[in-house]
Amino acid sequence: MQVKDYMTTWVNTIGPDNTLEEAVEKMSEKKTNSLVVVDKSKKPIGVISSHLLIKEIVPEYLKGSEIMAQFGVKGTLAKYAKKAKHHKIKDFMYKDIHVLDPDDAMIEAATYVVEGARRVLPVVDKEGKLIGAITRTSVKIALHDALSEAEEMEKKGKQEEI
Amino acid sequence: MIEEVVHNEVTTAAVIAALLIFLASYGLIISEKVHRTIVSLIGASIIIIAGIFLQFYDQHQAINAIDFNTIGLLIGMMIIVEIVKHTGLFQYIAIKAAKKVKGRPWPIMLIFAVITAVFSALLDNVTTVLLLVPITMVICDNLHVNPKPFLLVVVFSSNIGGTATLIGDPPNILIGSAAGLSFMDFVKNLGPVVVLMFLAIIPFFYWRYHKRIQTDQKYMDNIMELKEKESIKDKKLLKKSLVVLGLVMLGFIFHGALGLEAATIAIFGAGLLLLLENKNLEKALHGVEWTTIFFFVGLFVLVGGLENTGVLSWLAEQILLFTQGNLAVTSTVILWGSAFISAFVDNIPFVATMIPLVQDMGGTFSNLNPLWWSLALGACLGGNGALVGASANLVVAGMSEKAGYKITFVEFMKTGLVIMIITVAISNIYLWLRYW
Repeated sequence: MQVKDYMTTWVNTIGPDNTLEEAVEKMSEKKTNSLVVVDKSKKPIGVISSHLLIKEIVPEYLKGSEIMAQFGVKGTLAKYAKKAKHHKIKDFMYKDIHVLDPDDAMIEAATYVVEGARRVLPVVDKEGKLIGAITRTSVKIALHDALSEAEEMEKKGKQEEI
Repeated sequence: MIEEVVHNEVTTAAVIAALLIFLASYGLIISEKVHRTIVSLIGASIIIIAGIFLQFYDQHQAINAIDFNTIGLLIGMMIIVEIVKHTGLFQYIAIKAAKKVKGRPWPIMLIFAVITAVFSALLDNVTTVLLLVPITMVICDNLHVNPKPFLLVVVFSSNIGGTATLIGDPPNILIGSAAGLSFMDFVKNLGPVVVLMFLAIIPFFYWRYHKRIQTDQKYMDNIMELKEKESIKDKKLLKKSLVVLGLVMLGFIFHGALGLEAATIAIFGAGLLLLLENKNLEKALHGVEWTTIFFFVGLFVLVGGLENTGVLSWLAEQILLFTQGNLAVTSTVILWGSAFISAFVDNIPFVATMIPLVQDMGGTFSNLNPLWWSLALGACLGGNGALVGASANLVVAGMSEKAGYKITFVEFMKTGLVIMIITVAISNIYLWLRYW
């Protein structure tokens, strides 16, 4: 079970100087919850998730006081979305990314993909350029394979016993 | 008669070393280049090392310099507040109050000022503004008015209200613990003057802000539609919290008479609340601001080292020479000096340094209490003088700016400094009439 068997090569990317508004647009259009941020040479430098986008929009004073959010007036979300729409991706993207090599084992991917805000793990070639990505979906498929494999092994074992 | 303080065993090298370590730490804290907690811990360890080599301070004395009563009181209150703030009690009170005055902006501003001042007297100022800012912002969103005047009134009221009690502001905790003054001593001596200055400042708030917060009737109706009961998430927890809060308040009222330290009451309250609500121990302990606690620990050790060299006694003598040992003059100097210094530097290290200095004046004055009240009033009210004067100010400015309403240094000072001068002047008259 290696990264190259499960990675998706259709990776949705965005540039560090693009805006929050463009990220929202792209995520909605591509029906995805995460984007890999790449620099001009196609090297991954961060990731963006819908979680981060929402966090950037919700005002600070409500984050610490969820109780008050229920008394919020209509139009507050729109007001703060408007304020945040020009925020640059590089200013709020998740920078502490973990990149994978196609030959890495899936256990490495599985461990990192659930940690912190790392929703997506970029896979890079020898030059460090983006060639694919592992998402939670990829790991889920690997998990499915692993479980059916184990089941088959079990069946086989029983048959041999008989 | 000024008591002669002899420090034969302390060499000039020791004095210079201790002063350099102390001033360098102070400078770093003011510059904000390094977090104040890191500075205090490094400064504390360096002064111990220097103290051992130059024979003016040792590890045993350093441990003794830490005021565990202050530490215990802070930790106990932080745990209690962390649990109580999740009950929605404070939000309930604020919304209920806003509805009582029919959503009209100026009465809301006034009632929020009162609520803030009362909460601040019972809670730490930063905690109070952290609770009040979200409420204020949401109310202003509903009213469609600029929240800045409201936020400024909240923070000014918080600094004033916090002055009234032992637990209202960290300088008071430090002073109360060092001077053996109880919760009721603070209420009886500072309570009246705080109420007085608060009443005096209300017309000023009106004059300054009422025109900037006009709004339409339909937005006031928004407020009337808020359902304050929805803020109460956990009725059982609220009941338990109210019982414990009641017991803690009773404990504070009688701790002096019972010979119990305030810390014992606070830790007992925290323990009891944790026992009754034994689900979220980890979460409740997250409410303890360890950065603040360690800052205090380091600071006590640092000031203890400086104190051991006799520098602070010398400074106390100089002040007394200047004031000619006159109580009224000394008290006035401490009051105004503390206010202006606290407006620009962190009042916690300032008060921690002033405490041994005031204690050294014990030889001249039989009753030090007027000086303690001067120090408390100056250090707490000074917080209104400038944006950097209190942590609560910076917390409010930070949240306000992130919501798109920047409060500038000058903007804060234009009103804040006036409020500081009015309140300190009222304190001055009060001290004069009552103690001199």
